[in-house]
Amino acid sequence: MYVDRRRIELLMRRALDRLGELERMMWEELSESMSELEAMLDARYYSITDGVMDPLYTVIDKGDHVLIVVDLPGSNPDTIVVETREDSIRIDAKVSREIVARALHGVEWASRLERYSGVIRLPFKIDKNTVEVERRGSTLLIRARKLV
Amino acid sequence: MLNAFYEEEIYGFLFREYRELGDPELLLVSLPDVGLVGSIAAVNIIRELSMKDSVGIDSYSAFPPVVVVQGGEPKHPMRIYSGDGMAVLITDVPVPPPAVAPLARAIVEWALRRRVKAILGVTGMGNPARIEMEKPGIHYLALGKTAASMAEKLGSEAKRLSDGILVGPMALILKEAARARMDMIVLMVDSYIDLPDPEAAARAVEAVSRITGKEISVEKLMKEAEMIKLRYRELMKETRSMMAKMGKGYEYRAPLLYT
Repeated sequence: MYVDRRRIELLMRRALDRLGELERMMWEELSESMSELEAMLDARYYSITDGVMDPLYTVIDKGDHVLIVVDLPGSNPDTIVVETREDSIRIDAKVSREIVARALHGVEWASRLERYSGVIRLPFKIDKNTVEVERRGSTLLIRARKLV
Repeated sequence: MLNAFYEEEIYGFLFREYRELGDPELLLVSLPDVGLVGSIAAVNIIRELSMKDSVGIDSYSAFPPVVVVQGGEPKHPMRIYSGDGMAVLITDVPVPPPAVAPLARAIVEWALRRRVKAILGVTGMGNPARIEMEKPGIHYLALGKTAASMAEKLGSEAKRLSDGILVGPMALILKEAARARMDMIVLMVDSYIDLPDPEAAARAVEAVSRITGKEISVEKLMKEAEMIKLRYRELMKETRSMMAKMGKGYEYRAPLLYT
């Protein structure tokens, strides 16, 4: 059987080049994801040294109004402060050290966590006068009419 | 870290078996996703069924350089627990998007090699109306006859997902399972998109209980909901960033083909 050696070499080279390119792309993507993760871990490190946790939240667009669900597990309900602006909401709350210690298995750094504090940037402006705050356990529901 | 009696590398992931698996018929897979429903549910199942840490999964290129220490014992960040004819895969770290495809392939391949009959993927289904739901809804997809007959046990409590778009690790595992002709059920529970949702996880556990016929209590899970939310908040933050990169937003778009 006739074998075109040069053609086979060419095909192999192309395949190897393609594989190399794919590997490079995968590494680039991976290192990009890893650096994001590293940045997040850095932020966490600083939050631990400051003793401040930023609250987790989700913003739900309900047409003419907006619903913001804020999770403040372990917070002391009497210490929750909500400050609203047209384009942002500031949340502050102290946490129960006992719950934090139990939740995080009493790891040493957890004892430094003292409070939640963070600003929620809203994707649209709200009417400050229509803001309603409801508390369901450690979850805050903030409803506000959108400004048109 | 326990001494492995058997190790094998599958698609770049090292599976280190350090305890007898038995013959698990079902592999429950939970990877960090919407509301961390699968992750929270899986940990509750492992605890309630007193399952044993049997396999460590690792990859120096795909996972961050992490060792998890539990009860003074170092562990791999991704592990498979086994017992009672079932295996449960959990992870302490989020999987970076480029590593999801090879990991999905590796999980299905491992399940095939261990002669697992079906994979049960447990995940959340982000629902903006979740806050109004007292009992989050259960949805499922079944691939293959064994999976379909298992899903029948869910009864009227669960609805078969008829139309929609699935995005993320579970979508890839489902595709790989189809390629390998492995039966699979994907269990999805209505949940918050980017907040840890222990209530939705409890519903998922109840569904797993029905499918497997094993009694799995959710009492402790519900009682400790607040602590679980606190424990999982950092993983949720990491997962949220990974989900955005995976195009999770596609799930909120209707499929283009309709009948």
